[in-house]
This record gives sequence, structure tokens and C-alpha cells, in this order.
Amino acid sequence: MRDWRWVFIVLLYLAISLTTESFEFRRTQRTERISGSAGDVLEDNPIGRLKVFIYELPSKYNKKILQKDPRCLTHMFAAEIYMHRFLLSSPVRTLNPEEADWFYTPVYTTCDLTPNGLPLPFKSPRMMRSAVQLISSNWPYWNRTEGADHFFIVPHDFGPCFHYQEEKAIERGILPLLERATLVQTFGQKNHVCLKDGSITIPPYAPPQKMQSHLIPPTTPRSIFVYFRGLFYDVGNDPEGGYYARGARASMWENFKDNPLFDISTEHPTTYYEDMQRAVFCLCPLGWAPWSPRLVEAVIYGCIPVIIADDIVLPFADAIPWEDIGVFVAEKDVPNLDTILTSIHVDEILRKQRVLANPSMKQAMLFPQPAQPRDAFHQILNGLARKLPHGKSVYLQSGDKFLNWTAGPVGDLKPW
Amino acid sequence: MKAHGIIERVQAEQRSQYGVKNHRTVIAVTPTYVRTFQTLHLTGVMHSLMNVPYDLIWIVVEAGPTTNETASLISKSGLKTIHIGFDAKIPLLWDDRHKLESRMRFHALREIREKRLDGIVVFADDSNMHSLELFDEIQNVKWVGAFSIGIIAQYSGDSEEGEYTIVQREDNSEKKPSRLPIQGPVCNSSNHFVGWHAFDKAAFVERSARYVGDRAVVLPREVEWAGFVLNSRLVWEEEMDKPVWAKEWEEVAREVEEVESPLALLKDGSVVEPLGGCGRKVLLWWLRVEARADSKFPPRWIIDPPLEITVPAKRTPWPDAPPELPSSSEKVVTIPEITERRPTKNGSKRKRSSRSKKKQRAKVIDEHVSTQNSRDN
Repeated sequence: MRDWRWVFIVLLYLAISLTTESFEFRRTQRTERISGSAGDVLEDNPIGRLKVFIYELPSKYNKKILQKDPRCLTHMFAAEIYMHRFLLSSPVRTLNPEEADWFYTPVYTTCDLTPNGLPLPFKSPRMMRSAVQLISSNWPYWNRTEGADHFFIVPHDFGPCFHYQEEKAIERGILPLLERATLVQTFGQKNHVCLKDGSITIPPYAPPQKMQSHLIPPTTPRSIFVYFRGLFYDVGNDPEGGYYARGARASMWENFKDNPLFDISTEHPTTYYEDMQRAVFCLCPLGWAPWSPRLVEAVIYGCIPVIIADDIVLPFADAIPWEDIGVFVAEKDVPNLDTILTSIHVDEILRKQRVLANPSMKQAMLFPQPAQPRDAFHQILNGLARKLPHGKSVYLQSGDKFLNWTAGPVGDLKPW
Repeated sequence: MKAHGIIERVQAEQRSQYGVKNHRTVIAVTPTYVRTFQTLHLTGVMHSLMNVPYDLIWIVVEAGPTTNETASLISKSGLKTIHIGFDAKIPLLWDDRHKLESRMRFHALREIREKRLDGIVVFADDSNMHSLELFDEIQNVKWVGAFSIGIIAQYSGDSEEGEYTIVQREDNSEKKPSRLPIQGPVCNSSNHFVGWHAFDKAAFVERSARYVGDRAVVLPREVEWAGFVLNSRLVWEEEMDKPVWAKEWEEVAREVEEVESPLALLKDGSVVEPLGGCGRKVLLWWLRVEARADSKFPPRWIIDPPLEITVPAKRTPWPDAPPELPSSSEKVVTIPEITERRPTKNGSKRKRSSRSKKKQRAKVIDEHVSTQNSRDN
């Protein structure tokens, strides 16, 4: 470092950033440091910062269901299964519930699949209720807090509302028994019934080996400007159009199907992953739910995600500064997508690519087996650790009772 | 367009981040002369060199004085070119021509020496085909590198035997010679350079070409210049870092007639660095194809005076003649075809997909699309 002026400027920046608590960046050639609203926490190691007790449920709640349909290990909701496996052998696990900070209930509610592979949520509320009944009657820890120091993984479309249709999900609301628990879910939307305060949003499951196997050399030039593969209309469920994706995808298609900069179609080519690595921007519009594996794929493959989902809450939102990584476009602005994307300054684009290139970023989106440091499993634990120590309100005072065990649709009360 | 500017910058950044660091200039040496196939060959090399992502200097050595023909060809490349003449005429026999080309390349090396050009010297003969990976791979060379070249010597002219006639050789040989048409370095299992793989010419020798323009196949010699690359500093005068095994220039220049390959510049052949996965990757294809010696072509391929009609067309559409009815109706039919083709780019593909859900969607979307079309028309 012979350039003293450069050193002085860096020192000046550091001084300013320390005083104004602004985003600190290190001028590494390839990547940029990631710092979210919770601070520089992607690199945190949760081991030693919390203890998790795993309830022993009869295998009908987990193993037997998986045996019936092994497809649950590869679909986008597989996080509920892999999290269980990870916790079973993790150093944060404790066999002594008295010293546990968090209690985990391994119930696979998203494994009742149609022949096509889509999970049916109809039995899930009863299944979850049955599990809670079991743990509350066999152990004292649920009743101690009415679940406030318990966490559940609910990765389905609208999470703890247990329905794939938004209207019905809102109608149901969060399962009453889970009102005090911490929910780990993929669904996230601000001011929505199905996302409660204190929930941890996670990425959907994407098979890590499969994604690794489709990597192409990073020297391959990115020559596609905008890339998207997926539905624009869901004729089966929304024949008139207008409901699916609140019309945003239809608008994408109608406005840009002839634009040579937009490589968009409904085909599912075998080179889908490779194509993403040759694209600068990857569109991630909402579908029936705002989240999609596309976000994970875009991050892994270094394609800047263009998020078109109003009020969406993205995975690990307090640890990952998504505004610095992706581009947010309001659903009503879809017709101007081309202008919006071309008017981003090229330095900004290069910066986003540098942040995306940070291996911590990619690692945080994945659920590798066996688990690796800073992966999604660890980010979930980090999120749980950040909520410690539990506040006083977690523990019930004598006579307190918050949960209504008979609330909800009558059908939910039937035993599972 | 802004988007293209963005893409350019992104790709430049990719190159600087992941591409070869500290890349050196490529100095391509091409001996050439004016003949029918010159445009064909030189255009091929030119386009390959134009795609090289590194700085490039192209030294074109022309037999006979430099001509405008060659000059105008290479000027279209936009590359930095050095066009030098070599005072000799290309001989008719292939053997003699190979020798002359060696001397022409040596002349180019002299030019590099005099001008102290710095970079990696590649021998890009004008009828060869180069892969772009070659230029990335040679950046790894320290002094002298060799890589495998594929020899295009398939004989397809004779009607009796259209395939390799090596079959006849089987009874003569004790050790089966390798049939691969490759010339290049060979390594042992610990990736050390141990020797050369030469192209087995024995099967072809009886029917190989003797003179330029001969119908028969042209064979390479034992070692071809094209399979080597040099650090240009090897030929510099008073270069401190020159390794001990480099011969003195004057010594080599005295026996320039004997120079058959860059190996003549070395005292010890074992210092050659094998490139391309230790010779496992073929980075260049060697071919010699020339037109018959008596073939004529218009200078610079510009037709002047205009050609005379040799075969009159049956129906020449003269502007003052009224269009006949059948031909005009043809024209009308083609127009809607073209417009339909564009938007159903996705529609036709969807029809072919197997999932039943998609088929339903395809029908509706085609309706969407075709209603749009009808509105446009």
C-alpha cells in the first residue's frame, strides 16, 4: 500500500462511519460485507448462545409421515424435516429440558402431498393441535409459558394459517394455539394476519447439491439482461386472470413478451440454473404467495433478484440487507420495469453483484446436509438466540391464561 | 442502449475478477501470400484473432513484396498489424513451401527481436483453425510451451478408399502406432513432459500432396510451428532473464535453413512446457488446403467488369414488366406467416410440453395472443 492518500481516505471513511453508524464496508476486491438491521450478524455462531430441547413425539407425527411420502425431502417445504435432523445432532441440543431456552416440536405438517406433489393443508391444523395437546399433557413446559418459549417450523404457503388460498388463510388466521409461540416460516408479508411479530422468516428449501452441480465457470459472460421462467397465468385456478399474483405476472408478460432484453417464458428448460448464471437480473414476482424458491436460486447464482411483491418480508430480514442486494419494484410499476432496471447506475449494479458474491450470503440461503457454519440452520438459531433472554411476559403468572383451546373452526377440534 | 452498456460493464467486471490476471499481449505470426484461398484462410484467422480478449499484435509476413490485396484484407480486422514482406516467391512443391514458411516465420521473429515486442508469440498459420481457449491457455507459458494440435488430413478424394487406410499397416508393424491425428507433447503420470506424439504419416505417404494445388491431402511435418508458443523475450537481444538453455540468436540465424520449428532456438528440448492439460486438450487444428495452381480469382474478390450472363434466368423480374398474378398472391400469403411466427415463439413450445396443466394454459394464451394480433392487423 504505497498510496498514502488512499489510506487517509479510508481512515476518514472509517471515522465517519463509526460516528454516524452507517453501513461499514471493506474494500475487498470481490465481495462486500453484509450488515443488516441487527448488525453484522450473518457470521455469528449460535453454538453456546442457546439451548434447545426436542420433544420426543411418536413417529406418527414425523417419521411415519415421511416414510409414506419421501418426496417431502426434496420439495420446497423440506426445511421442516431437515431442521429436525439438524437439531437432533447439533451442539445446541440439550437433553435436559430444565436448562433449555427453546423447545422444539418436530411435527411435519407439510408432508400430506397430492399425486402432483402439492401439500394439502387440510389436516395440518388438527395435526398441530394434536401435537400441542400431547406436549402440554406430557411435559410441564408448555403450560409454564403457553408456548412462548416454543418454536415451530411452518413452511407452508401462508405459514401458520394452514391454507394455500390467501382469502381462506386470512379467514382462518394463525392457529390459535400457536399465538404465543415463535414461528419459523417462509411466508412473510407486512401487516398480514399470517405473519406475527417475532416470527423468523426463512428461505424455502432448495437442494444444495443439485444447485452446486449446475454451476458454470464465473468467466461465462452474463449476456441476458432480465430472466424469468414460470407461470404468468394460472388458468386452472384463476381462469379469468387478475387474481393470480394480483395480476402482476400477467402484466409482466403482456408488457415485455416482445422485448428482446427480457428472456421470459413459461418453459422449464434443462438449462434453467445455468441460464440464471448468465443473467444480470432475475425476476422474482409473487405468485399465489409472495415467496418463491426463485429468490434462493437467484442469490446462489449471483443474479440480482428483482422482487415484485408489495410488503414482502424476505428471509432473515434483520440479518440480510435485502435493499443492498436486490431491486424492489412495486406491483403497480411493472409496466415500467424496463425503464426502472436500465436507469439503475451501473456502479450500483456492480455493487449488488459483489454483495451477492459474498459466500456468507449464499450459505445463509441453503440447508446443506450435513450442516455447515453460517448456513440457514445457523441463521435460524441466530434468530432464536437474538430473542434471548426471554422477557418476563413469557412466563405465566399464576392464574394467567391466554390461549383459547376451543377457538378456531369446528373442524380443527376433531382429533387427528 | 443503456441495457447494453450495463451488460458490457458487467462482463468487463467479470473478466477482471475471474479472468486471467496479468495477461500478456499475444503476438500472432502468420505467413501468407496472395492466392485464391488466401481470403478464405486469412478471414478465418482474422476473425479468431479479433475475438481474443487480450491485447494483440498481428505480424503478417507476405511472400513477395507486400501487396495491397493482403493489406486491405488485414486492415479490416481493426487489430494492430505489422505487415512485412519477404523477398521470395512461394514455391510449387509442398516441401519447399514448408521450408520457406519456416524462414518467413523466422523473419517475423527477427522483427520481434528488433522492435523488442513483448508478449507471447503464437504461430497462427493462415489455414489453421484456432480455438479461443488456446489464447487463454497460452497465458500460462513461461518460456516455451507446446500443446496438442489436431491434424486434419482426412483423405476424402479417392473413390476406392474413402476411409483411413491404416488397416493395411497392421501386418507390417510390431507395435501398433497411435492412430490419433494429433501432434503434441506427452506427459507421464506425474505430469512431467517426457516426449512427443507425432502424427503417423506412413499410411498416407504414398498418396500425399506433392505440389500446391494437388488434389491429394497435405501432410504436416514431424513438428509443426503451430503447436508451439514462445515468450517473445526469448529472441530479444541482451535479455538478462533469458534462460541458459536458450541458444544465441546469431547462432540460429546462421543456420536459418535448418530451422524447422521453434525447438531450434533451444539447446535442450526438455524444457518445453506442456500446455492444455499436459497435451490432453487439442487447442488448434492444422489444415492445408489450396486451390488448383491454375485457378483464377478476381483481385480482391471484386467483380470488375461485371460478369457476363452465362445462364439466363427463366423469369427475371424486370421493374417495368407487370407482376404476374401467381407470384403476387404468393407474396400476400407470406406476410401473416411472419407475424404469426413471432408471438407464438412461446406458444408453439408450450404445445410440445408434456404436463397437462400447461396444455390448458397454452390454449388460452394463444387466444390472448391471437386476439392481440387481430387487433394489430
